[in-house]
Amino acid sequence: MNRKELLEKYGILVILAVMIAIFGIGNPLFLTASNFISIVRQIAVLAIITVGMSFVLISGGIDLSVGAQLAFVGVITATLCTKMNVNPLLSCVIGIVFATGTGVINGIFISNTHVPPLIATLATQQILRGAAYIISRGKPLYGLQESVQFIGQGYIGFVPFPVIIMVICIALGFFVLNKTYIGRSFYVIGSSEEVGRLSGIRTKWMTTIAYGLCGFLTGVSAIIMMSRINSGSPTVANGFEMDVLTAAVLGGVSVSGGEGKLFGAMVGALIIGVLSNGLIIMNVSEYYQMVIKGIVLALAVAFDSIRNGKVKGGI
Amino acid sequence: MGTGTLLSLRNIVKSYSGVTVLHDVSLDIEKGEVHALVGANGAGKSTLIKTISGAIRPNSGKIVIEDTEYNYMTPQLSSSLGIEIIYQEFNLVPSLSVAENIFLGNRVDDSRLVNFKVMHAKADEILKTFGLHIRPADLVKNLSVAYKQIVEIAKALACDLKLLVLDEPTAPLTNAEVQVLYKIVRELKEKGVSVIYISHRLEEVFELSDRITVLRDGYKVVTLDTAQTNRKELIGYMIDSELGEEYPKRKGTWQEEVLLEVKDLCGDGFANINFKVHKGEILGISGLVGAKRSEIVRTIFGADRLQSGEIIFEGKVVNIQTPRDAIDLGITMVPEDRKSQGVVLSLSIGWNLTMANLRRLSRGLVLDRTKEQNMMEEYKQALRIKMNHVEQPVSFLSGGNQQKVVVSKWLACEPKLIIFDEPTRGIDVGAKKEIYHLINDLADRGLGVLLISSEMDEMIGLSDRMIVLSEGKITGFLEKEEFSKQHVLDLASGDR
Repeated sequence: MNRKELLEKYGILVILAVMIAIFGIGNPLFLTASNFISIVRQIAVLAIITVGMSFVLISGGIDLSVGAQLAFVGVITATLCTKMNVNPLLSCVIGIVFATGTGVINGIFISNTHVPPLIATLATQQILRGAAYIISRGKPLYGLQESVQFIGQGYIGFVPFPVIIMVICIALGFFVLNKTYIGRSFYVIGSSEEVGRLSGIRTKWMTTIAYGLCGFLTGVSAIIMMSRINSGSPTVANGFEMDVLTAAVLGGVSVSGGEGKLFGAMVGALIIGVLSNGLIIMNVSEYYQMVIKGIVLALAVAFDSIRNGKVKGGI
Repeated sequence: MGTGTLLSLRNIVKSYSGVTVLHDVSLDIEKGEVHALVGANGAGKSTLIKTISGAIRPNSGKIVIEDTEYNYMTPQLSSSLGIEIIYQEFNLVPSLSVAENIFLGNRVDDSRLVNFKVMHAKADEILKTFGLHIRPADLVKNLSVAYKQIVEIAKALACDLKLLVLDEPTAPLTNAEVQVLYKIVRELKEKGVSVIYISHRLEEVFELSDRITVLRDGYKVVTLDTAQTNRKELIGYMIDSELGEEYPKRKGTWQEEVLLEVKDLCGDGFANINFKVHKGEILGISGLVGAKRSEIVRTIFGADRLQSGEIIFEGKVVNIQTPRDAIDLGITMVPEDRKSQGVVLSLSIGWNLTMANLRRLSRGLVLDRTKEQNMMEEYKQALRIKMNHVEQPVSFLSGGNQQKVVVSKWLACEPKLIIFDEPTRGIDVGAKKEIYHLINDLADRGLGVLLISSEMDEMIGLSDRMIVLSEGKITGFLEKEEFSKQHVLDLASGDR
């Protein structure tokens, strides 16, 4: 392995280490074990959706509707279990089914019309966010049962329950991406849909599965999110898709498809988590945080494009 | 020929991350000469051209242009010195007009605004020198490939052109269009423009060039006067060992049993196509560009939509909607365009090899890695693909080895019928030979083969029987005894 490959492979870990060092020097509270657990707990939602987004990106798409899905599913689930007296856990399952359905519809729409995924999911985003406001009448829905609260706030031993769900989701993501022919197909169609089709891969199916899985994982995250903020809120997770994208791209998942590893994407999520947490601990205002995260996204995407450009311009 | 040397390359060395692709190459281009550059894939032709165009910088060596010495070129510099390169992929804006493309980046007069009248007149003047009827106002996207190429050349002429480099210019052209290109090259020569001509097709090289330089594995082998050499000698310089007979004879012959029959096949641009392929038969499908050869086989493979007609495979009427259906039946296709249809360049050799077999290699949803590894090993050895390891991206391989990956991918499906659409396009002489042997071998094993190739020699050398198409209709059926270039061309051009 030469120096360049090493840098590509482990550069992101170096960035993470440097960030931890900077925040640690800036505020010693940052380096405590309890803060670390809190970071991991905070990134559970982000990491789970990043797994889903990685599927979509690797298969050559993008899903900008994940933030709106979070709000929509939260509102639906909260409505079911607080207003309609549906069993709380059943409400959660229905919420996740809705999210999966949204992903599937995204996938079917995109693979059959060839509308650019960016635009198609931007439309979905708008629809879902609007629907969330309509159903909730614009106000957060409170009064979740204790069993639901446990999902986002409970602990098993010293491990936060969301972290356990996160680990399961990452394992699932790893299995799908690296062990099944579905995951392999994602890489193929993301690199060249035509070659995939001519090689007998059912490309429309695979696209739909990628968005469907992304929806499913977003649904799971939505339940965690709802439980953590203790309400189903239509305003939640505005612009969250940007954090997810940044995490994935930072981790080496290419926005042009066909490339990326889950490990990298998860480190990317961790970087975002450390960044948010560190900036809060150092009392940087939320508005500045937005600017900083935007810059990080721009840099990550630029790096990705330049690297891809180099590959094409090679021998 | 003009007087003196236009361009000299002196001791050019270029290496990429430790791999040297040009070793100490020196070359002189005289004014007004047509200089052919030949060599197998990976010989270093493209790299040499990129050195001249300024797309890359050599590690050492000098470039001398009209007595000025440079260490390297840049795209701007080479362009300002009157060097233009026409690549296989065109550099045109499809949604703009011919005239706008010709003057892209250049002003037609001193005005700050564009005077379309003047632009069209000037464009017309250039186009007329070719004796062609292209209207300056036509949109480039509506032109045929040949005309697009001509617009590219016209664009080069709009500047003060001294050296034109043509990289495989005839690959996409029909025979008639090739003649137009020949004429243009000769006219440029008359005007004192030097031309570097890169082609795999040796007859073109002999037809056009004054001198020929042979490259092999990054070394310059020799520069020859075209008049004083011949095809056999040239091929001898291009490959290490001399090739024997160019087209190997088959051991066996075809069987009585019909494997595939199509009845009244209609689809995109073709109609009423009827033919049979027997087991163990190589059926050639001949025709010029626009004959819809690829469209027909793509329809059989399920890649394009069938409008009407029947496909009968192994005695049963089959319904093929997608390539998946065809693969499940035992029909596979090595597609026409290797880079956009055959392989995924950025993925590994191994993944490309097993790409069409993912379901068969899986138990439930789970890929069986051991089985997959075995399949990779088996086919990389069977076809002698030259590589370091199967995890290398396919883009690292030469064209010939890339094509072997495509063929392996399809053989791994254990097909009964295999379609080869331009199987040897853009690959070197040695790899071609291997592909010929392979096609024969497959037929001898009882597979049916459908073969399309734009190289007439190849069709005649390999096919057992041949159908000839002209503009989407079958114009002839030929048995092996009836094969001749003249005969096929007559039928293909629709003149009877």
